[in-house]
Amino acid sequence: MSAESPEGRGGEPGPGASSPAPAPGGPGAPAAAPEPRGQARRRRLRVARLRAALIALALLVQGVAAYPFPPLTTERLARPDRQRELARWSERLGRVGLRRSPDELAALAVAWSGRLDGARARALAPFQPYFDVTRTDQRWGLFLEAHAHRYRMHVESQDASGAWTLRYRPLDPAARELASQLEYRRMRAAWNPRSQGTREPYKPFVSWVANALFAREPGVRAVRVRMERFHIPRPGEAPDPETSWHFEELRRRPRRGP
Amino acid sequence: MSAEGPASAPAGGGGSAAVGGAASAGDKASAGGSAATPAGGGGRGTARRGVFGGARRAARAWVSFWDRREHPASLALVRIFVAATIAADYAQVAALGLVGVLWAPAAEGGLSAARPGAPLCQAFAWFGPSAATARAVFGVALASALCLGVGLFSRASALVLLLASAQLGHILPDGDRGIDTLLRNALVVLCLSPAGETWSVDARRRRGAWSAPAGLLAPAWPRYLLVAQLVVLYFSAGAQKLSSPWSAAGGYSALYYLLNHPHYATFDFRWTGRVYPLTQFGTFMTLLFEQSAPLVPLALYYRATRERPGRLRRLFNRSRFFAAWVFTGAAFHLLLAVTMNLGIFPWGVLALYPALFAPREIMAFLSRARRPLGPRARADAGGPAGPAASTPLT
Repeated sequence: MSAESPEGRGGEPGPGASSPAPAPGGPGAPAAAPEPRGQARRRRLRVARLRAALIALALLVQGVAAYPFPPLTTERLARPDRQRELARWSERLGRVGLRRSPDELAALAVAWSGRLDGARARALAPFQPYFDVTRTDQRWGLFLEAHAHRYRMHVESQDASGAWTLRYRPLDPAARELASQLEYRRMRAAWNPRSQGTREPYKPFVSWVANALFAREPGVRAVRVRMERFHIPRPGEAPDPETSWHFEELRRRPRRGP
Repeated sequence: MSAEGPASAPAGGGGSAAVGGAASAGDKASAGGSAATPAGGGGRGTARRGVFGGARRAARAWVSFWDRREHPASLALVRIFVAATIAADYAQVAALGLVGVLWAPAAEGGLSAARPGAPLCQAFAWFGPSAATARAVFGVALASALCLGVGLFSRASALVLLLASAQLGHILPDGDRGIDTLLRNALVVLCLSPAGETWSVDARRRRGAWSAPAGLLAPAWPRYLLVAQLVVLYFSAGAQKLSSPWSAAGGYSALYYLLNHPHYATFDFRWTGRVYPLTQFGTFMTLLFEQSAPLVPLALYYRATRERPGRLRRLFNRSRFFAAWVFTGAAFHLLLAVTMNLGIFPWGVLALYPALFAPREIMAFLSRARRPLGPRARADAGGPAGPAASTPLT
């Protein structure tokens, strides 16, 4: 599918054409170049038809892949924020005469999302090798998790006296150790918890942070990484001062061998 | 720069929107078929002929649409911006000393779960899961991104970059974000496209000039697919925003919460509580922008066929829907880049925006931008009027 010069195609306004192209076949239409021979025309038409068919197939497959809703599970829907959403939807549906309790809605959502996701997976199965090799997809969940309860990571080190010092905390100008590395997007993905908990690379990440601090400062005896869960109050909302600690990981400096 | 829709020079000669001469002949046949079917004519056979005739015409229009040709300027800009975004991201990884950390197996101090029994990707399966293999894959990815950016073996570079980026994604799936997937989708299109036909080393090697002649015509369908990709991206993202902070029930509080998320915010945004209604407006506009994305192809079509009648067409063109949509999108991503630490995400999406513009508009914009530099610079940009004028769809 190489680019073609207008000379090869005929009829297109040349470089520097300053007026809009005339309507096809209309008055002032540029004179058509000599038509290609019959065989070449048929081949070109075959190529165009094949291309159009392949694009239709690609759009169909990508359209199925774009079905946006991942399967729901009973565990995911049991979370308090999801329970609130279910209650909200139950109330909304009740207003239009579709009475379903939040539990019934949850069961329906789990069943239907599973069925639809299964259908999507079956339809895409023949094309899975393509998606695997290119690691492409069409499900785009951008900024879905916008909630009042958040985590804030703390990286702390312990010295010989046993005292803990805060080394890194997001948006804390006094605790910026390793900040440029930790805040790089792929690195953050390793430590930033999802709603379901930490991700697979979290433990190797803590080991890397600990080793980096051990290498920088011989006085560091241990490194601790943990997440502080806190509440973001909306304006006019009573702040919830209670915080809690989660996903704590501790690494001690390895003892030197004899 | 105003936008022009997916209406470009058709492939057929003489300005007729058809696939070469053969399709023109097909169109004639189609027209003949229509003429043989009187409107509202009686008889089952006539109705059937009408249905089949309609299907045939639709199929011909489909073939003709995807066979359209245009100057490759828009695709070349997408190629350059996509490659620059990816190369900048990889350069940042290298500068931070994170190549071995992100993609080496955990046994060698990295974050990857790959191990000899479960290599996770083909590169590790062939060469063994090690930091050295990870560095080699990274090196290939960075080199191919640079080659793609300068347009050296553009298609091959796009393919190699696509595969290398996918390998890195397999090695550390959690570190592979949505923007990486989006850019790989764009790379699939770029490696099948004529994006290297202008503003590239390839163009210099082939024609002795960095820029393609203003009248060069190349397949336009890759650009249309990139427009479709943007539409799917935004609409899918908008459709999934069902939780209450994204709705009136939750007071459109999503943007406020996101700006106050310490893991993403670039600054302390607690002050946004004082301008809370502004964040609510921003949340609403984000939803409106994303969920209106399916109207973009229609708006592009109406802009390209503005001389035709129709109330809806007039409404779209008078309301400048497309210009407002593009402006909102660009502003949205630029604000994201300033307020949230999202790495290449805003730039990666914006890299696809040139696909929304017809090459003629891009060349006209460049010509205007270069006016102070003199006539030679304008000629390099494709002359005062840019490349061949786009023609409306059939």
